[in-house]
Amino acid sequence: MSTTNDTLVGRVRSHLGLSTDEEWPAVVRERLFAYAVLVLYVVVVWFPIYYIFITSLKTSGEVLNTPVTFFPHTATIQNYVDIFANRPFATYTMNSLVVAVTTTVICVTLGTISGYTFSRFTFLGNKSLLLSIVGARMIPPIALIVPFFDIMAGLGIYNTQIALILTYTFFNLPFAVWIMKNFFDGVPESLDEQAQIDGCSRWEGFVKVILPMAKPGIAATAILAFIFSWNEFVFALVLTSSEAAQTLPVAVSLFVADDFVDWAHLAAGGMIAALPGILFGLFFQRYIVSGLTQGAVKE
Amino acid sequence: MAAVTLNELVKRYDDVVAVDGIDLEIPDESFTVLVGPSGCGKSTTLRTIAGLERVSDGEVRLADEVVNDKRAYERDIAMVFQNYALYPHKTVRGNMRFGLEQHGIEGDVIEERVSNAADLLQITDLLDRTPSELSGGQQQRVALGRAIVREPEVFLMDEPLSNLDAKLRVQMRAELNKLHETLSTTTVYVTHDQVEAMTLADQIAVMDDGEIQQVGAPTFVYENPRNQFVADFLGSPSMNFLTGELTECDGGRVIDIDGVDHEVPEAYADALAGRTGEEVTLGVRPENVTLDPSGYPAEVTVVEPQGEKIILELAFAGEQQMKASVDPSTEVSRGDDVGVTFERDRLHYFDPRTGACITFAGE
Repeated sequence: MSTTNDTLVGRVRSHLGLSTDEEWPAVVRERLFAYAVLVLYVVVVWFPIYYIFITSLKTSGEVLNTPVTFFPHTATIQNYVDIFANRPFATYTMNSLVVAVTTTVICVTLGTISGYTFSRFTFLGNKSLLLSIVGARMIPPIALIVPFFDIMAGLGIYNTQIALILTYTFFNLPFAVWIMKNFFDGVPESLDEQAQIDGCSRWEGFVKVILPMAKPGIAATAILAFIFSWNEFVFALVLTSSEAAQTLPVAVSLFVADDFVDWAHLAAGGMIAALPGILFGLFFQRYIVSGLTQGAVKE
Repeated sequence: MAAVTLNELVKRYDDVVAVDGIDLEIPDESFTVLVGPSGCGKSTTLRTIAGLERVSDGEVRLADEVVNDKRAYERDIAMVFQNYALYPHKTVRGNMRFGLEQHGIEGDVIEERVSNAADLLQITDLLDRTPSELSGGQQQRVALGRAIVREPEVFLMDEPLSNLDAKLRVQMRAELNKLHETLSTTTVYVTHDQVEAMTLADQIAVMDDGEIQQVGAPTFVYENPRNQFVADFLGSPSMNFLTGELTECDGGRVIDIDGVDHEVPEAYADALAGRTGEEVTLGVRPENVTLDPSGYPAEVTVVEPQGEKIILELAFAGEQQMKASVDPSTEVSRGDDVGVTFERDRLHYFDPRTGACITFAGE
């Protein structure tokens, strides 16, 4: 008895009042199975990130060692120092931030206003306009890469942050409009009307009453727009050619040469590129959940 | 406070006419109820008074001023919505303050009005909660409070009690009555519930098909319906209608209802003069039907005991269905053959083609 009590399983068994040869109750087995699945899922999701993280802490030599080490022998932050010291990673990061933040702000602002308009007003062609906005997003982006290159070159903004901001806005705004329209559709129109009764013009009612309620929708839109812009690679690669506008995903790809991949530095760059996206997602996700549980109106 | 006047008011949505040229005088300090079935245009009428809908034709006057071109926020009205429309992100206090802040009322006046209204509605201890933390009845009080603090010229209420359970509805109905006595603010109230209309209103406007069918004091309208629609809509269970040919016999007038001769009382004879040989519909409310073995023969088909009364469904003259509301002590069961009589001074006669009440006494 004392030996079984020493193991975790033994402790659980004695806690449940089970003798050693008794079967686990069904409810416990179901729970254990559920946890096993969840743990497996978490491992699958987080392992690549863990692997990049440990690789970023390894020396260039250890990276190529076989068998692969899952815990670095000598952990070092030298790779991080290198990419900022020897390569313009600060500039790349700033490019990424400027492009992603600006795109997000534009998409959220325009998306919110247009979403509200599509949700509340009937005007000539409102349905076909909405469909055409969303339809434009259904074209595979890769099909547009040559036209976009031509347009940006023609406008003289090739290799600028503006080119990327315009491109990412083009791809994200339809989503933003769609999400926000659906969100506003869920807000009873009687709240708009109550605001008018309370003395607000339509615009005031939108700003003072509807907008504060739309935070969860805005958060969702912001996450999508930010993460898309932050992670986007193909257009950034084609529309930029130097550190004047290159973003982190392109910068990271530059560690891949024809005959050599600088894994350690690539991993460090990858971590820098991944971190803000993860933090941004975690922060706003909490916000969405809290916002969606607000009780609004009795229907 | 102010009177509201509707002149030839029309509201069209594309091809659909929701309100078809109504005239209505809503006196200052009155409690006027617009009542009618779904889709009769009563809510649309209320919304045009509020300024939430633009008038297609005719005019809306608030305190003698034509307000057709004024938006809702420029009119001095407060409205209570069916779903209460409380701002979910604001506390009860915030909900009540918002309209006053929008109107530039000073802070201490706002505080005073909010606390007075909260006292009146007994919601003082709820002031710092958010709407999601309130029960339906409490939300309803907050919605009322938000209207009261505004001290508007007119209260507009769009089916405010229909989301409450039956018991709470009766309680809030009484409170609305008291509230109106205390505040005397002109109130326009929309409902499809005729009991609510009868109990709350000092003026009732029965609407159907975008038109006002009849306006008047509730009891008057109940007892003197202008047409068959009004007669049918007010009252539960609704009025019985029995149609037959009017004939003359021994100097009196008789309606032949599927072989049963109903003798028209002397008092109504003049109004029916000249209609001999035409179809005429007799209207009698269930509470004006009494069981009397010497009366017209009928068979009991359904017995519905309701506590304070029993509703009987009767097969009258073979084919025709009618209802009677009788004393709960009456011993009667399904299949019984009974006799029925009608209270002679509580009868109505209608023209079955137009639905108009032939014996309508006038306003």
